[in-house]
Amino acid sequence: MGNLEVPNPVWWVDSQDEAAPVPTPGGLLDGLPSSDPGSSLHLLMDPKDIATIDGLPTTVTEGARWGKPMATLPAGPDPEEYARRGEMAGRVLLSPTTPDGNTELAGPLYMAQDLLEFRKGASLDAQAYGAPPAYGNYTFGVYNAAAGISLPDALDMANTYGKFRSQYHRPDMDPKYTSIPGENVQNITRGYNDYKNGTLRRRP
Amino acid sequence: MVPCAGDLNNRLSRWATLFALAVCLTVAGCGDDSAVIWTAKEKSPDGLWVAIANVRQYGGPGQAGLYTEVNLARVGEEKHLMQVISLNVGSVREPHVDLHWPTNKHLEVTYYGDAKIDFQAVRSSGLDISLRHWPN
Repeated sequence: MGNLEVPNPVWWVDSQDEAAPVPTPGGLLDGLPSSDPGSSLHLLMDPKDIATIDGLPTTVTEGARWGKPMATLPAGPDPEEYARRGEMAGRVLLSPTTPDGNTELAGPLYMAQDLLEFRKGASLDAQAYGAPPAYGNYTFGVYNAAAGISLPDALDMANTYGKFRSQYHRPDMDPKYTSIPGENVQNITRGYNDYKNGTLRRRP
Repeated sequence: MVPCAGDLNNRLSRWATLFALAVCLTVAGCGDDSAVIWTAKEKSPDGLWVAIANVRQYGGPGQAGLYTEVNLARVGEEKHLMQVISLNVGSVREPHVDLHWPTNKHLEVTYYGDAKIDFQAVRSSGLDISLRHWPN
């Protein structure tokens, strides 16, 4: 499906950006140099191994070397952390059995465990680290895009969770996903699209 | 071949998310995934009214939110709140609001930093309410 156009979230201060984000593959590959277009070897390798192929000590989040880091990334785990978690969930979802030989329910159960970590104060709740709400919803979009979940399904998940667990009494609820504010929908979509477009922002 | 994330087809995506969400909601149980993380009260000089400010933080997948509400109540009847101001707050690191009663009939609310005004009453129960913004 096509990407939706959404306005920048409130923590986005483009006026402070010195350069446009450098498009990168996103997720595990974000921050790495472009691979040989004829090779898909990088898809099967541990990113740490790729980063040391040329013998230079670097990491996948070293933005200064591979791309201009954004100056306005808020507190909380890096978007790449969420991308990694999502990619792992996606791999488990696609596996008919886990490496331990568990059934195909392992994938959804694995994802359920991650969803629980998005609860208030849990390890994937960016707000618990002092990040603004917009970033918290942005990272949920990143996670779902990395897991291979479709955007409508990701928004449905948020909406359903909101219906049962968040008693919003706001005037600005989304017209389609009526159990969450429209601002949440915009920021989830923004994170989703940034992962898909390979424009995740990185820490300096 | 290691399967790549991002290749989930729609049917699998839908089934997986529904199942995962059902498990998540079952484990999480009922109740609101939000909490008041800051609160302040200020009585009017004559002691008849009290202004109560709350900052409520929402959590959960795709639920992040931070809202400040200012309510009025008669002293001793704090269960019957009248909402007079609602703000969508940009960041928890910022200070929130100050409550001040210049007179018995006038509540002055000052908020700091970035916030979007969702609701603002200028008069309620014979009291004037003014809202001031103090940028950081």
